[in-house]
Amino acid sequence: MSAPQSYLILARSSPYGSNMPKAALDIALTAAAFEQEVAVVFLDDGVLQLLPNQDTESSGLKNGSKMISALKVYEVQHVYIHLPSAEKSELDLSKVPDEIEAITDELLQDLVSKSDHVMVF
Amino acid sequence: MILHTVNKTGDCLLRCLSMASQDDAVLLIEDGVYAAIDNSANQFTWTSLPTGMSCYALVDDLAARGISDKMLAQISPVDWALFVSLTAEYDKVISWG
Repeated sequence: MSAPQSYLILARSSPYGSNMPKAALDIALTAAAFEQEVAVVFLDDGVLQLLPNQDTESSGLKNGSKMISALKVYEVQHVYIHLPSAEKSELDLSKVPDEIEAITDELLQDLVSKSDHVMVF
Repeated sequence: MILHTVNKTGDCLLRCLSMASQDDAVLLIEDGVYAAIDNSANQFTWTSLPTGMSCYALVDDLAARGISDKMLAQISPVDWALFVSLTAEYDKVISWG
C-alpha cells in the first residue's frame, strides 16, 4: 500500500442540527482504519460537540460525545479543540476530555498548510 | 498554496478568510457569490485580507443570482474551465460550507 497521507478534519457544526458531525467522525474513523494520519479539530460551533453532560435519552438522538472520547482508541492520532472558539463559547476546558488537546490559531494554520487533505464538516 | 472554495457567506466565509494566507486563492461558488456584491459590508470583509491573495467567483452562479454587474473590483469572474485549472494549479482544495 502507498505511504499514508495526512487528513485534517475540521468539525465546525453544532452536534444535533445536521448530519455533519456524524459525517466528520465517520471520515475520521474510516481514514484511521486505513492507517492514514488523522487529526480532528473542533472549532467554531463544533466545540459545542464537546460540552459535557449531553443527555439524548429523551430526545432519541444519537449521542456523539462518547464516540469523540473514543477517537484515539480507534487510532485517530490527534484530537484538538480550537482555543479561540472555546473561549468564544465560554466552554470550560477543564470539563473537556483529557485526551483532547488545545490548539491555537497559529498552530491550526500550520496544520492546515501541512496536511495533505483538509475536510470541513 | 491552497484553493479555498466557499459556498456560503457569513461565518463560513469569515472562517475561511481567517485561515487563508497570501499564496492562497478564494473561489466563491453557489451562495458564496453573494459575498462578491459591491456593498459596504463586503468591502469591509475583503479589504482586511492579505495582499496578493487571489479572489474569484464562478460566473454561472453570479449570473443565476443576478449579480454579474454588481461585483467588487478585486474579485475576478471565472468559468468552469478556469475553475478546473485552478484546482490543478493549487496544491490542495479546501471546500468550506
